[in-house]
Amino acid sequence: MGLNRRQFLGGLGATCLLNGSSAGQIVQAAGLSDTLPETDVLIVGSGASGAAAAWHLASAGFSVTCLEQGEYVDYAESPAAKSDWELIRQRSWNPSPNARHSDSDYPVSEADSPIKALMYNGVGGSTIMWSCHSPRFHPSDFRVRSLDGVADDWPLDYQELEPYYDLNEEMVGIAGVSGDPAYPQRPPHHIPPVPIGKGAERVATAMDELGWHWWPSDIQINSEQHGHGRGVCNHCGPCELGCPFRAKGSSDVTYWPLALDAGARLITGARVFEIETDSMGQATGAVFYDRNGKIRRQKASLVIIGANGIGTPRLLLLSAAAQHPNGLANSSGMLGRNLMFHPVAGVTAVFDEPVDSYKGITAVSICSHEFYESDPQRDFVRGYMLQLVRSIGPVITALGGYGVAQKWGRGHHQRFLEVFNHTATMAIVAEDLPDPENRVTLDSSLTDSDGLAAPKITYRLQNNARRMLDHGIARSHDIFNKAGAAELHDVDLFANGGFHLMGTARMGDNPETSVTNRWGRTHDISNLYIIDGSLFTTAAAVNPTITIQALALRAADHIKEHRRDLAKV
Amino acid sequence: MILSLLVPAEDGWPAAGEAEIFEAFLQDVSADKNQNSIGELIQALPADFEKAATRLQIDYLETLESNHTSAFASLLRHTYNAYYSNSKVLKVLEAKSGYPARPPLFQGYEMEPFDPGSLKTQQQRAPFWRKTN
Repeated sequence: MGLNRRQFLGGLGATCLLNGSSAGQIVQAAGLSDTLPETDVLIVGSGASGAAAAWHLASAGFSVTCLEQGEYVDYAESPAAKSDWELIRQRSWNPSPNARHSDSDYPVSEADSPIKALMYNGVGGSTIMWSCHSPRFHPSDFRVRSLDGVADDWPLDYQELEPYYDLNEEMVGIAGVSGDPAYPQRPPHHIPPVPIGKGAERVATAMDELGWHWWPSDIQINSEQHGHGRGVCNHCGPCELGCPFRAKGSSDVTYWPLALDAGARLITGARVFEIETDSMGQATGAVFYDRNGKIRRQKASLVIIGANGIGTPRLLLLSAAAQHPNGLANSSGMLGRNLMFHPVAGVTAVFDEPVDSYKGITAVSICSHEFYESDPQRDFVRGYMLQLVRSIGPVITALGGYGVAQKWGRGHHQRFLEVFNHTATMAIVAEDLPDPENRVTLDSSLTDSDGLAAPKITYRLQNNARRMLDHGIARSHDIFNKAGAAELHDVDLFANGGFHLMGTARMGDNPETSVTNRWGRTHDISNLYIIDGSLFTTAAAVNPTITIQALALRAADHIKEHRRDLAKV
Repeated sequence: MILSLLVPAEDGWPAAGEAEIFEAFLQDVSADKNQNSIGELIQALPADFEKAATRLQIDYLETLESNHTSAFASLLRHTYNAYYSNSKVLKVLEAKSGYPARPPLFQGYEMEPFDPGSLKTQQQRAPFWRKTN
């Protein structure tokens, strides 16, 4: 089963990235001149959004340069091929930048948040450590104020974004099953669903008996071959440790090979610390440190930021100058505010029989949208998704992963064997509502390796989300009890659950209450766009990546259509 | 000694105090930015710990667990990290559970493909997504 090292390096995408044979280039910032030739479009960040926009714009004939503070990841070195993979996962491959301690990252000051921020800096951004769950938003997610009287409506609706969901899904490949009654009709899935495993089969049967919704999760994993140079999943489990088969649809293997083929230029080891503006207040490019701490400058006609929901407001706050002392594009005062995560609680069931807990993709097998929409009978507005997770190795089991504590001393092994390979965990993923007091600011003392102020997150879990999580925990008990679980263990809130970073440069029609317009163009600066999760007006209760990518493709289309107007800027 | 009290040899499993595992434990501690938690525990151990009877040693450790919760959790983490990534331990685990004593890559695992028939009940349900207009 699977490919060997030589075979996977022979894939087309891998070849493009590794030897630079494509039309575009990946280059190290430290080898460049001090001031780089002007580019049509400068993209800051090479993650889910930056990669999609780079491909779309380079394909349309723009000269595109992307600055990425991290490096290209070589999956031949994936920890999942090493005997101490579960230890590496806790350190250099930890999704928390504060645990990785890498110079490519920046630390996050998070003492004032019960949820810790997770991200990755490198080619592909946080999709490198991502488990690929790719559900669409629901139509109702764009109409929260109209339907439920809370937060705000988005300045666009599901129908407007739908063609870009379709395009993105064609590009990246989504494994799944069509016909989910929780969603409007959509084009057929490109590839069949991944195996759901024994634990999910038991849970699915229980949910059928309860009359509750479940469906195989949409996921950017190749259950069959899709895309150039990409292989097929072998169900090894820890997708977040990188996939040498390129079955996982991280942006370095989906969009970047195509963007480079289309002529995009990708500069790594480039930490942008300021977006520069001219006397008219228009963006003129960016200034960045290379890996040696040397300052370099990239001029551009148009600047796009896709640096995630924490990195983007941090960069714009760092770009404060006399003309804009509160940060760039911040006349509304909303920059950095309304930070949203998806608060996650969990219930782990221990079964009497083995359920192959260590096999298959970590974060998803099946999910349920039964409690997704508002219900006046409940004590909260909006709703949550239930998501069955797995891939628990022996070390994580011993460490009490997902809330099942182990005992030490005599009897340790007996208890270990009762738990290992006998668990299924239901994650309750709640919608977070925007709160201006939940925010990203610059820390007054913590800095990155270049001495730049680190972002500080201040976040309080809202009562509405707490009630949602409690409801989800109770329903998960119902499900697992119906499935015949022997034990149940709750985690009220996963502290290391800040995977989704949203809302800190929200889009809206009103420049006084939002940072960008409906296209992601900042209200203050007509040639400055934002395309990452910062844009989200509300958070929904599903994973954000394909919505981020759809928004990025839509913004790129807008830039294409207004090419002449932009040239006049 | 302490490691073998935490994870003793039993039913074919090696003790965590075995030389190879202890060496891995030390490496794991040295890789930890917060190594002082182990020092905190060493300082807190009673002077007669080594000479005490096993039952009393376990009592001492239980007291440490209560009074130095965070440091003791670090001790357990380093112990389990070293123990459950040891090849000898993983071979015992393979024999007892069927979990292959190798890393997940490159072989991966065999799984049954998804059975579309399992969706029969769900496919009978009418669309229930919330309309917006």
